Amino acid sequence: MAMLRGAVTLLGLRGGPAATLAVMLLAVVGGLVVAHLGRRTIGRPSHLAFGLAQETGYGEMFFSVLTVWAAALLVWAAVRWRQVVLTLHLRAGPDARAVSGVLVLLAGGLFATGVVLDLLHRFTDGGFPDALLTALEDGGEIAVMSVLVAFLFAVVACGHRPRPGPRLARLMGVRPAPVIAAPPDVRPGVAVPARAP
Amino acid sequence: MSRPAGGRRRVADAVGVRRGPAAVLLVMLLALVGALVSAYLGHRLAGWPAEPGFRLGREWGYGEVLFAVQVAWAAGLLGWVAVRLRWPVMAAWALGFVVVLVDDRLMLHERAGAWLARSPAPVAGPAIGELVWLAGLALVLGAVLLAAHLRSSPAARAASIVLLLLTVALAGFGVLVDQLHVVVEGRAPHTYLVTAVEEGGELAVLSVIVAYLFAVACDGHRPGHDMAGTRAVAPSGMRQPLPASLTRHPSGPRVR
Repeated sequence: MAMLRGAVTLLGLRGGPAATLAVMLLAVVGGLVVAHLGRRTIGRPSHLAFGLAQETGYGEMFFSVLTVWAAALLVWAAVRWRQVVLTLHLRAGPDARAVSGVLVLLAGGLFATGVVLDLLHRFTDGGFPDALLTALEDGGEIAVMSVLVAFLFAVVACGHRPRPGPRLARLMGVRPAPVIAAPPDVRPGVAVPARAP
Repeated sequence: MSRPAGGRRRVADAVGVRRGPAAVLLVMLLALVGALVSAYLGHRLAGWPAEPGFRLGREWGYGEVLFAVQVAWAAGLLGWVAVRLRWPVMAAWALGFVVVLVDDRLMLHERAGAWLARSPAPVAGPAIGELVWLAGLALVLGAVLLAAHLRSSPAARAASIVLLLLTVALAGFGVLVDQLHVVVEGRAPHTYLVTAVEEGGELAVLSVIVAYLFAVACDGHRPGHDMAGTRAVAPSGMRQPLPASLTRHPSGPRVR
């Protein structure tokens, strides 16, 4: 539970607009997974496009939309920070490097759902296990991409700057966050834009 | 030139999408709507993209599904606002959006129209039956909305009135442009342009509604209310002061 809380805090999704967006996107993913499982098990909804692995199905299209949004938010971040994106990790400033590190972790999540689950999938031969693994594989990919979009939204629109813990920071090559007592009204991981009073 | 720009700014202020996260969300949604309309025009004019799902107005096409997703998002945000801020009028609006979604997806008005036409009631045909069903639904929902509106605080009423204006714009595309579509269908050569305006306009207005509710739900946006029936408590587009815990981004220090 603490690990999950730490991950959500790192992503800036513990509250505020970015967390709301994450819930909105993940609700769509949940709806797609339920529709896929319903179609495979009881034949409802019957429309072919609800199949998650279906070429140009709703799942594939949603994934494409999320990918374009992620790319656009990355470009926006690059323009605002005047850094040649987060591609040049070692040349980037500490904030951009931390964002880049989190993106690498999320890309690892995409790899895990896209490749590892795909390998497992090859050992199933139809029936409910196949439907379930398709849901986990394709639904997982879309879910990770949704989290990635919400994270970039937190960075671009809400001013979130991830502060990894010491071990993770060493892995990413960024300075860890100072461990100090927080002011009483600070909620870590709540990406909300600062405003003038 | 300055007057329209000022008008646009006032509208953006009232809707809460002039800057901040809601503005970013609106740009994302409108870019998606623009891409869908462009894909539809490409599909009709050049045959690319070839996938029939890009045809706007097609049952279970991508446009229809985006419409359903946005209505569901709007209903969810309204429900959240109703619970969090204790605004009963928003619960009534949420009910309205849910009814629209269920009616649209399950084709309730078509079924009810056909049933009424077969029943002993004096209804001339399915089309009239559909109208009777929709009028009845509007009457019930309108009564619920009015009752909730009158029992709400001035801030909730102001937010509700902005939503009403946006819903009227949505109905403008859904009903008026739809009627124009019916008139020119088969008579004019480029009716797909009317389809693009009708469906694209509906999706665009719905995107504005989602962004507005997003601003109200999680960005502290409270529209100024100098409209009839409400007292002005804040200038238009003002964001109410939020608790300090919500207005400072605490990314720096780690908390023990």
